[in-house]
Amino acid sequence: MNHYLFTARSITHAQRMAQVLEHAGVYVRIRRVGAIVTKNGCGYTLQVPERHFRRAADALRETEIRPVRVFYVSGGEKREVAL
Amino acid sequence: MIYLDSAATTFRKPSSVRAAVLHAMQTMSSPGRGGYPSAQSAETLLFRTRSLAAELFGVQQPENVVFTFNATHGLNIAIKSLVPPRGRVVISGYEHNAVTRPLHALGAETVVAASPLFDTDGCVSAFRKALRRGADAVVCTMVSNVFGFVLPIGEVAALCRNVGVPLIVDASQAAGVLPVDMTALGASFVAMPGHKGLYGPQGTGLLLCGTDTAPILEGGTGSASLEQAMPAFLPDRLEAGTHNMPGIAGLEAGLRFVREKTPQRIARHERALIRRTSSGLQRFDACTVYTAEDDGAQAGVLSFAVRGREPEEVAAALAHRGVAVRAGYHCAPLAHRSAGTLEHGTIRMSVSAFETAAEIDGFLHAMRGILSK
Repeated sequence: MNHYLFTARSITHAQRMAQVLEHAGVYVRIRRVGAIVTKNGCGYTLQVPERHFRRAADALRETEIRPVRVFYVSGGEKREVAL
Repeated sequence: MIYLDSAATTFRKPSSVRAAVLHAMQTMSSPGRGGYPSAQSAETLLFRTRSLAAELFGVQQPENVVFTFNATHGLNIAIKSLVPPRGRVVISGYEHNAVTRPLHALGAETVVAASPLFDTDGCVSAFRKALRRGADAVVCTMVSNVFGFVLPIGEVAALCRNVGVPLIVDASQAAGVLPVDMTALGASFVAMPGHKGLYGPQGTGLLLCGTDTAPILEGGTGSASLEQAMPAFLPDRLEAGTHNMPGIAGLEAGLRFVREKTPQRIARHERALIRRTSSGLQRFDACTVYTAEDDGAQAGVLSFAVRGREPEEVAAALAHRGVAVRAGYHCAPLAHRSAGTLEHGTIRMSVSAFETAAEIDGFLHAMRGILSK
């Protein structure tokens, strides 16, 4: 299934983003990821379903709690995109 | 035992605190270190506790709530973040060694805004005067751990804001009984223990951060692992190593207890017990009781002395009769210097939400027995 990955700098940052998204009605899972995604070691991502991307992006922009990076994942391929 | 040493640690805890500690030990592993359920439970608890503390203490962002081992740990981080070696720092005359020793270690020029005991206006004037020459930081306790003197932290914070000097607040004796609002104070840091008025276990504390921080401990954080410098962001910057999960679980339960009971009600209860103690002790000719005329100027801590007897001797006699109090300098020689009690120190009794009027009467009965010998 196509989805977006919002990367976080820490578990707390990921939890803050997840909280904002939950308030916006977008429920996500927090997952650990490695250096391939974060570039600087252990980190966290939120997996956001493609259909919720716009709502999630708007909610995060509004609260200024932004992800470090955003990837679009389709067919096993990852592509970095802007929020 | 009649326990009257809550200024050191509240010994009686809500039953929910014990249950939370046990639950954490049975269900939680290291937070931020794995994607499995026991690590995730720990992560959820940390975030919930940060969020609750942020709500209770007026912190805008939960990540600015940092878990520490105790207030001393938090004060060390705060002081070492703001005060350069040999920097100039203004402190109240009622600071604990948790403040004065780190300043001594930094070789700081420590200016004491000295004022008489329970003299709120004098305290504000002393800070105003001391701040004329500026400072790298001000450190001020909200409540003296020796005398229960409630310092005018709002006014001190306003003075600091006016002259642009960062403020470090020691809320060790205030958190859980007096309003602590980081945003309203505009403080750079507020440090507090988890094990006193917040009813958590020993080994817990909170540091509320409002400015850039310097870690005093480096290590693993479960984030940015390929970088050798500590992360630049909170809370990871200040939380190296595995967290005290059972302690923090207990602290969360303690915070919920305080929120439900409300600091105002707890303070009212404690002040009533202090009044009862004070008027009881004042009936004994041999006792000098350090008590405020204005009820609002004293929290749930009271010091006294007994003519012709060393404080330790009185405390030992009380312990023999099943009453736990503390004697001596209470790690705050500066406070004794300010109050004129440095020669012998004092006997200190202190209360929490759990002590009762009957226990105060039991303590006074024990004192009568000791003084009659």
